[in-house]
Amino acid sequence: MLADRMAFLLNVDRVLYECSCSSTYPLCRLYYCRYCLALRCADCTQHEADVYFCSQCLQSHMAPEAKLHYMKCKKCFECPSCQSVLALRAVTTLPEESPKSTEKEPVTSATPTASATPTTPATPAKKYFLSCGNCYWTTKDAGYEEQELAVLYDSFFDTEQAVIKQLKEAYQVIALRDATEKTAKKSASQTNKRKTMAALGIREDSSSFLSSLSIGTRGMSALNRSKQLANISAVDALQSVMSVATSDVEALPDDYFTRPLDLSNVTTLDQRLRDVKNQPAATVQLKPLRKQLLIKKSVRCKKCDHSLCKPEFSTSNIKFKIQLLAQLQLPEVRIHPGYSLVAGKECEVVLSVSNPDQLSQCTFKLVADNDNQRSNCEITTPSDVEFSLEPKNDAFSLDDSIETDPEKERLLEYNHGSKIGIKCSVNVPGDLAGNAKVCVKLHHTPLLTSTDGSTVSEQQFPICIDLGSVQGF
Amino acid sequence: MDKPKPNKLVVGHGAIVEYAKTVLKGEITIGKGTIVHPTVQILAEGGPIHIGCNNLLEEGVIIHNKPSEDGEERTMTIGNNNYFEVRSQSSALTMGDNNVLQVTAKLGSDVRLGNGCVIGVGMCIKNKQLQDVTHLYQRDGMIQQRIGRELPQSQTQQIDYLKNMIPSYHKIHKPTNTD
Repeated sequence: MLADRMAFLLNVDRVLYECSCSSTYPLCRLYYCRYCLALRCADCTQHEADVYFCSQCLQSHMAPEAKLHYMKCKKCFECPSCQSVLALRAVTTLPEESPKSTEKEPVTSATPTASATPTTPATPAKKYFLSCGNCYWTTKDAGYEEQELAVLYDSFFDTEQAVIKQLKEAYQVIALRDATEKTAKKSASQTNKRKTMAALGIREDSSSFLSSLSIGTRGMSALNRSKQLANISAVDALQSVMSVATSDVEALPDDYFTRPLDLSNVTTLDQRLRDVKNQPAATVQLKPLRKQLLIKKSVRCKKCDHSLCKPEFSTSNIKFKIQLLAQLQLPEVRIHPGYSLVAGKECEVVLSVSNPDQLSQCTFKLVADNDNQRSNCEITTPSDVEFSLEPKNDAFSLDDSIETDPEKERLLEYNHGSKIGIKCSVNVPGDLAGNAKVCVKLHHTPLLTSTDGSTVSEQQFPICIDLGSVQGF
Repeated sequence: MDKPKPNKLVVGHGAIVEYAKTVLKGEITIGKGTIVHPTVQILAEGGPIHIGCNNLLEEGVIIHNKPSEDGEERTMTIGNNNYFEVRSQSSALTMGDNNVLQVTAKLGSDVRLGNGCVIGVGMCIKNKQLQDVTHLYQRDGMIQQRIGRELPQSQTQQIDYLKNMIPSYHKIHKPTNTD
């Protein structure tokens, strides 16, 4: 029962506000631009990545650096088995000459590995491996022995890294060749133009003509050189890394179809698709995955280019410099639970409206909008009454000490100061198919002063409310 | 109704068993170097419990040898180097070495654990026979099983630390002279 109620309260998609682009979103997904004085949704805003950072080590990266590492953290790894973060573990080993090892774990002490050269005195060397605290997967399961830190990290990098690098270079050369061809064509057309101009006897300013000519010749010689270079190296580069088709395919082992399947040795689909490039089929092939970087996103209004949301640059700081959320500007309309709709009858529904601001009062009117295409039921609200909400107060006690106009009291189900429940009646048609939907308009004067200092006039915000399913007779 | 069996506790040399807050019922043998934290319950109701060496039983752990349905006495054996994390419960009659029961994991009396098994956080296992180095863990509410290659790390360092720390803050059981 409580779970049902919680699900109802958390169901933000029931009350949708209409954005200025006439698509509907829940209030918590909308921004309110204080310069255009309009609601902005994800589609009417421009999103920019401010900082790339790793959620594990909180190290921030600049965009080119992040791209260079394929948007992955250099130092943090995910467990390929259960996707939690892998922890670095150290093993202290003494060189082979002294068999007494001061290891942390007796498990690994069985196989002491030589680390330092025999000539050096017996200094304990630290070797590292990664292990998962959740499922106890270690890099040793994947066949990586304990290594020194740099060697360990290097060993996780793909063996195809070199091939990818070569391919990248090859395509860079090809891109250069295309660019040179384009500029050559352009300059050729320019020289043609000049020739015709000369033939027609049109004189250009001599100094600018000479300078452009000299640039042209210099440019051309450089172009020719790079063109030759590009032609040769591109072909070479591509041939060296090109995949070759072959008809020799390794035959499947004889017992492939008869072998009993041991599910604990087979990776799950999720594990397989996390490592898209390798797609390991057996658990022994799992490799540690580099952790995906996250971004801090800033949002701009597409119309006026002002910032709607700007996070602090520091990755450990979760605050925002600018945050123009609609939730902080507009009163929030919600459906009060505990109503029932019967087809062909007039039913009472309570809509609760709450003040988002902690400092100032807020006034609004709730006007029925039955002409809206999104609605399929008629709603009657106290349209001509202006309600006012007290500033939001978290420490507010729920006693009935709020004095209200007795006339308004009649229209309200409850009055908690910053939150009121307004009685509305919904006329449900008898032949209604699907959910009952009603539309209202919130007439509200935004709290912010506009940028030029003038007072803001009242605005209308269309709201579409999904009241849920209707009972039959 | 049988009479409750007399309490008989044998504590091995170097084992740390807290005195005041542990609940120890029935015939219990605790091996050398095993650490039993306060608030641990070891209930040997269905037969004696033998706990091996260098095990670590954290707070709120319940080891329960449940009485069998036919009233037959059954002995519960727990091997060495096992690690029972906070509030884990076990009624498994046989348990090998180097197993880890993570926080609030529960084992029923029909479970048989091999060596080096890891039971993930909050998992309840009623009836299963786990081969050596089986790692069970939950991901998105799905139980997943994995066969590891190596035994989980043992808690030697932690045990050494607790051997020094617990006696300075708690009263502990004296080791029993077995010879």
